[in-house]
Amino acid sequence: MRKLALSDEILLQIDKPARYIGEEKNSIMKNAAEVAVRFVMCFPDLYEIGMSHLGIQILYGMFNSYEDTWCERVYSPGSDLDDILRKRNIPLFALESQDPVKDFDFLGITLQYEMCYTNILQILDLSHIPFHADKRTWDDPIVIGGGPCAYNPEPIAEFFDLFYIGEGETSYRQLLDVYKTDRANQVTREEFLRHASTVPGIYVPSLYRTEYKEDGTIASFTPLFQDVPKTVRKEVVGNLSESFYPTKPVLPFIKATQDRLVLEIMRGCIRGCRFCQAGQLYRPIRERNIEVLKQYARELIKNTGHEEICLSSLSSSDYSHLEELLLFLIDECDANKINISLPSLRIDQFSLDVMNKVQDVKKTSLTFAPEAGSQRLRNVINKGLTEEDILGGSKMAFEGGWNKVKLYFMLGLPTETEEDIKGIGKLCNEIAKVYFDTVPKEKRNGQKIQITASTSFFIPKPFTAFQWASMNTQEEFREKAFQTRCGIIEQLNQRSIKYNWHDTDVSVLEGIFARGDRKIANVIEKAYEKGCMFDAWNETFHYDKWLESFDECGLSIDFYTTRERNDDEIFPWDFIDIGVTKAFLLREWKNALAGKVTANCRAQCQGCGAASYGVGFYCPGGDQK
Amino acid sequence: MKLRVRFSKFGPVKFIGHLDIMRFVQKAVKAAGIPVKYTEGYSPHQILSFAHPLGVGVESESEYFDLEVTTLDGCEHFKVNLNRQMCEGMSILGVYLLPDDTKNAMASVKFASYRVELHHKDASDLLSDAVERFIASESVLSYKETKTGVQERDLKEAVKEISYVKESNNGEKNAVIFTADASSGGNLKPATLMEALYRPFDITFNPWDYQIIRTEVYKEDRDGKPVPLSFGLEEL
Ligand code: SF4
Repeated sequence: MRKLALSDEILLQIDKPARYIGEEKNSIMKNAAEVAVRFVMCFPDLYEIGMSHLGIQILYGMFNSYEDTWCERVYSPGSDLDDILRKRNIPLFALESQDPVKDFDFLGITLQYEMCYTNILQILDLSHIPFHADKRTWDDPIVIGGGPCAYNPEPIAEFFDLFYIGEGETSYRQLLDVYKTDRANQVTREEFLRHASTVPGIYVPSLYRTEYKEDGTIASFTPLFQDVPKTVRKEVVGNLSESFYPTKPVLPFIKATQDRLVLEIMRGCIRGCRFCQAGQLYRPIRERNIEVLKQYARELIKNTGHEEICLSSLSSSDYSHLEELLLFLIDECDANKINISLPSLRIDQFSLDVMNKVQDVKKTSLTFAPEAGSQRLRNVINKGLTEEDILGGSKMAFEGGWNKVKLYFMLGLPTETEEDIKGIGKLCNEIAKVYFDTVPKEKRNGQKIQITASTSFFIPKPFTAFQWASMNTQEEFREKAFQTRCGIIEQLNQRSIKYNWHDTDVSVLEGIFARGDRKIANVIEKAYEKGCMFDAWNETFHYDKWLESFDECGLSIDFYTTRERNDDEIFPWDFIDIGVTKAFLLREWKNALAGKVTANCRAQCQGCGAASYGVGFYCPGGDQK
Repeated sequence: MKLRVRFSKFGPVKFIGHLDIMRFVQKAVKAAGIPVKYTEGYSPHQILSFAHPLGVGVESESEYFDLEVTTLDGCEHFKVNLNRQMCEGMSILGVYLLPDDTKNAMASVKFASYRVELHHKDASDLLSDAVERFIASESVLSYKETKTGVQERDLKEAVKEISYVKESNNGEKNAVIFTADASSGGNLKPATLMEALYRPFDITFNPWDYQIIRTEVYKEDRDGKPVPLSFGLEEL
């Protein structure tokens, strides 16, 4: 039987000990003595959150498919265990072997959201690994970051030896081979990092220097040596149907936040919403072959015995064989007693029929994401969803028996006016009207129409048309949420409308990190020392400590948030080439300000630059069609 | 058709709670291709129920769950197939046919037996004293705070048999061995008995001062005698 890193005494005192014992179905055990590379993959948040993530399952399965590599997992310990580990000086350990993280060759940290940055320091701290890459020796693992936040790695650059920019399936094998050779040749850690910098997609922060202008913006960003590439190009999987897919995912004993099988049907998105980072990062669009997907679905069901499956992509309605796939899944799931949780589909007769088949109409709601309250502002953000779409879809759904509608909006979008905000209440009211006009009283069966409007605050992200935009202040955000509420209360049908919004402190910080530069690292370290961790969780978020930290580092928050950038400003993330060009994004920024919409990839290619990968489904020269 | 399944649980998986083990077993049953019966409706679930929940940290030599299958075809290799779906520390020990009129597993449970191995030095030294004193007492009261006030219970009535083993050559540790009420109305928790056993010696326990191992779960036969839940059933 495996020996655990924690004693019974500890495990019986902490919340959810199952987080820390490994042993889950489909987790992989190997003999540590028989592998050349030991990799530990970290999701810097609680186990239940991390176990819900598809990306880790992909890399975990892929690494373990290599005979010379054993990949294990580690997550952020809860604060109860955190205390114990510190007090008793027990090093943080990986779940499978229960060996200390520090003894591994690689520590891979996935960066899914900015608010996990202090948790990275917690992981390093508890693992007894120095925070700063330049203080590490061969006694420490190579710390490598990846995932969406790695597209602006600068705020956390000092804490990482390497970043992997792009999709993980392509370059890791080469990196591991370089590592194996270098270790066999007993080269120094610095030499290895230098070699790693020539592996496609790998960024080595210590090999670059940033110079700043007097106003704090970047003057230059340059490699220290000639053989270190000036730009790092994002890695992209050419043929999704042939890339590794985890059909034997690790199944947690305790309920993960997203407790279901995931079928990733495509990457990328044809819609060019100007606020959306993922839509640009994952270009060009690539679809998985439908037959391959059917096969994966069968295997997933067989290998797990799971009771729920869902489709994953940025915009499932745009998958070219969606109908066939859904009909197949409905049959397969019916036969195997599995629930399908539908992604948010565009509302039309087909999707309503499908929803009707797999869900209880009474219990589910329709979802729309207009993001903005007026057509004018929807044009600015290039959200191709019109009022007619929403009202027409609602009418169809009401006729089918639905009576719950959820709407998602953003506040603080560029050029937003009071009129746009008022539009939110108006739109909700129109939907209620459609209900009352469509469903006569005698058919309502005592049911009421329930409309829920939720707003989040807009945060400009790198590699979007809005990367130049000013972000609202906290006061502006609060005022806008108030205006939204007033706008709803004014409506005739206000009793049918519920309004939700979240507080703003976290948004400000997220905005800073999203477009931050290397200077931010100090602030993160300071805040961590003051006890900041799990900033994504309301109970553990201490805004005052962050403000103090900014103060002590002499940095201005406004510089990162409210400041509107000049067209020619050098951004901290400019050295990364995601295929989509800065020129295209700038053109989109100007189009936004002019209120001009841009067609989607299927309607007409806009020449964004991602065609250069030669693999886009809709791109000129793409080879998948 | 109803089946009863007996399994054991040892090692790190003892930290997996009852509800999570249930979910784990349901997935395993499905993945093993067993033709389990489902309820109707939008989110069908397996007709499967556990005999007695096992606390976090407790190991067991003998646990049970009942399930209904739509047919016995495809159940020939039930035990082997389900064992393939288990994790380290969990084994399927037996599969039995249940007559249709059998009460569900939970309702038929009357007693459970335990072995409690002591890791606590002082308690270990006093083992024989503690158990013999319990046996010799007229009554041993335990008190439980409930919403309506303090509830008193005579453990002498709840405990059917009790003895102890001293460390032996074949690896057995110092342990208390007992059989106690496990019915839904009167279930006795091993920790309650342990506290009561050592109260005269002023020893209080933490849950990690001993390892509880459930050794069997019992129903009553026609004469009211405790027999294992699998007793008298035909093995599949
Ligand atoms: S190159 Fe054209 S088709 Fe391809 S992703 Fe860019 S805009 Fe879309």
